[in-house]
Amino acid sequence: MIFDSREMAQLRRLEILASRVARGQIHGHREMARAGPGSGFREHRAYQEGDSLRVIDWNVYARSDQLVVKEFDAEEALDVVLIHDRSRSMEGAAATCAAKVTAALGAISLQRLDGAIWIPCGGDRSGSESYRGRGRLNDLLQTIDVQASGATDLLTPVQSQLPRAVRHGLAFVVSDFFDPRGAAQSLRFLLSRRFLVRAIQIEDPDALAPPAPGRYKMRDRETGATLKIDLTEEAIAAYQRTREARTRGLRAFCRKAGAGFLRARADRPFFEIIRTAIARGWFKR
Amino acid sequence: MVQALAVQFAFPFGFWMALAAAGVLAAHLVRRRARRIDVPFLPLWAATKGQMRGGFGASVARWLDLLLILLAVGAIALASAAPFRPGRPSSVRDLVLVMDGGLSARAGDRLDRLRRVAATEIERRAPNARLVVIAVADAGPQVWAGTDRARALQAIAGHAAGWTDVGWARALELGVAAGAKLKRPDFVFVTHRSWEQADDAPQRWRQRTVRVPVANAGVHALEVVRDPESGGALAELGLHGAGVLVIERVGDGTELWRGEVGPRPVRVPFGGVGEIALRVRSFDASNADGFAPDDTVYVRLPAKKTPRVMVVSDGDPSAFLIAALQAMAVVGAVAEPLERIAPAHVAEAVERADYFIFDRCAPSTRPTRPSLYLAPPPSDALPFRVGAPGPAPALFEVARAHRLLRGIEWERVRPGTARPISSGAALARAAPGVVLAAGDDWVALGFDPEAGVFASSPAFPLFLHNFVHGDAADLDRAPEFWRIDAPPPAGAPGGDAMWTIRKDNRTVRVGPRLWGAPGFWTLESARDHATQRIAVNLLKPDLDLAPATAESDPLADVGRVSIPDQPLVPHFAAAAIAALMLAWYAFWR
Repeated sequence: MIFDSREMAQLRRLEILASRVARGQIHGHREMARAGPGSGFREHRAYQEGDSLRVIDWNVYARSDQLVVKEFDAEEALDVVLIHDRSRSMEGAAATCAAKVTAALGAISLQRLDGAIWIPCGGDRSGSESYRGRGRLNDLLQTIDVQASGATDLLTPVQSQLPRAVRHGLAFVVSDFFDPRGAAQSLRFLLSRRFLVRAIQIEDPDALAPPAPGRYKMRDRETGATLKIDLTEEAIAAYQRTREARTRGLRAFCRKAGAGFLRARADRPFFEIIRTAIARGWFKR
Repeated sequence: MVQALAVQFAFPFGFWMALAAAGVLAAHLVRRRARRIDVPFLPLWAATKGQMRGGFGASVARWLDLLLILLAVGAIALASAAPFRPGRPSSVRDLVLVMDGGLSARAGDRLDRLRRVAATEIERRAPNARLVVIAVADAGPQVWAGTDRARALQAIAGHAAGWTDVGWARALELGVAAGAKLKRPDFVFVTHRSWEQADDAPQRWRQRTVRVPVANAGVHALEVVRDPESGGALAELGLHGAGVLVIERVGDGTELWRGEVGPRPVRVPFGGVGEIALRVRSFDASNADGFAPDDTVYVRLPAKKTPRVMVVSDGDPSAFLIAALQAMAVVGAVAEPLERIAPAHVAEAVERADYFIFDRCAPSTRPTRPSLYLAPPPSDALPFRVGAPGPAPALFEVARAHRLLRGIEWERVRPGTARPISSGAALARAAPGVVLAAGDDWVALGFDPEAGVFASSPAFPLFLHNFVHGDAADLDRAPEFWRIDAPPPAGAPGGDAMWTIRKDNRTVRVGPRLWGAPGFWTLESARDHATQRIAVNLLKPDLDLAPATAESDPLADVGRVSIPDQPLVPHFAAAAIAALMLAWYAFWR
């Protein structure tokens, strides 16, 4: 179990918080962009042949002698895709934090009767896991573990493991986005599949903090590539600028694409990160 | 320029400090060794490196701290080696030249040689060297100071010898006073003679400085004049000077002449052939040897004719004597035929003989030619008095090595009693009896040639030969003198080893500077350039004589010009400190 008892209690409070915000009932809580069976009135439209008589708004007909039908927002149980980066670059606090955030997101989804699809990227698992119903919550929490191995590659697992039937929905990407092929590749793919994309960037401040000035031979955790560098104050400042620029670029991409972006420190408690996501309405229909 | 920039090191072992550079280099390399760290995302650092400054500037900055440290270490090592820039040697800088101006320099080609030596000394100076030329002559001390070498050479060329009524002490005082105004000048004393080299010379200089009356002039010139009447066999010395003069033979100190001399030359009869040496000394009124530059003159007279020997005897001469003379005549040692006369005819035969040998007889009047008396009877005409024979030989102070006495079997000699009446001319003396005495022109042998075995021995003709050809003087030179053009004899004072003068806790070596340059004498110190100061102390430190006379160059700047040793330790120490401070400010602050 990735959570201890105290964290489990915090997780339950998060579930309640998410429920209050979304006010969802039994058919799921995701607000879809198309009309369909649901409880929320959407609009009137002219009656068409074949429409059920039950959907005719007879009150309007009595007042205006026109046959119109009421349309409601479609409500359906959706799958929440959890893309979990377990690459070597996450090693340390980032891996733990990412695992807990992913597990909490899955727990909230199951609590709200949504399906949860966990796609691990890296680590010793290659296949995705699907969960539906509150009864699978324990399985989900047992499955998601803390691992950090292999290279960062978010796109390939998503492309290969995302079920074709799942064409839209909510996708959480929990990663440091240290993808050599580009941080936005996986996000771009999900957006193309009409997912609502929520990117959570986990950063380990200890791992990312530059060392003291000096001469270093740096080795990439994932690829083993090395680089010699004379680290000066000037170089450290340049490094910090590069890092911030990379994050700003990712944030700008998400904003432009309508995706959510949350930057979180790995030493931050997971429930605070989830609470921030809830506060941003990422679970709101 | 190269010489000016040359740096010498007083403590070369200080360079071992440079080995610390190896430690510094090793520490730097260890410190700069790349540490291995794992990073989550290397492209982030690669992008960072791409933004960093590169190229030569970055490399310099990377190694600048090491360079600064190595510079500091190098500077410390250099400072430890005690570097100093040597002062410019005075030999190429300033010169105080004291020229011999006495009339004695006129003898032969002395003056020309002195001028050549002085000119050479001047020409080898640097163009900007300060020159002080002091010539002492009858017109008084002439001092010229300036930097114009051409004018200095003119002063040398126009220098004429004359009366030196101020003497050498005065000249030295002038030179020292001039040298004191310069810095480390060469002090060159160009003279035709070797300076006094007696062991107590420095002390005598000091005394001379204290007690030098100018009126107490000495003998300054000797002129050799050939006697035309004697065909060069006789010579006279022309003496110039003032005071009482004494001419004595070098070696035994035999006084040959004594008399008053004045400003006009006097001629002293002097006889002899071959090469002889005389020392002429002067005395002041108090008869003290206060200021008397002893001079040695070498006179080369032409070879004389074959000596004519006249045998004087009352009866038949000794057969041994005749046989010896005839043997000498055979080899050309004496002229033939041998003449024999009675003592009464000596005065008439003076012109017919060069030497007289009295065989057991005494002349009625003494001949003016060198004479040999063999066992003479008492007579007032003898230059000595003959006493009664003693019981045994009583000889002392016999120069057995004297060539006149070589071959004499002294054990067989019967002594007589005699006393020389001429002062200081006897070669062998006996008290109370004299067996042999030799003066300038006479030799007495106190035994009968017919009574002893000596006359029959081969030594007898040799004795006669020595008498005829060796004259009465010897060629021994005074050990404390030597000729100008000859190197000093080994072991002579001031020759191989320079004198050492210790004064005021300073040690100064004084001695000849260049053996190859005749007449060169200089006073120089080994290291502390205190020669002139020492010399001032020796002569007259409070003498304020400026090298400024009518002959001086008014535009000449006679001042301190030479550069003493300049220690450079502070420079390198400051460089090390600066390098360390810069490194600290740039890298470690």
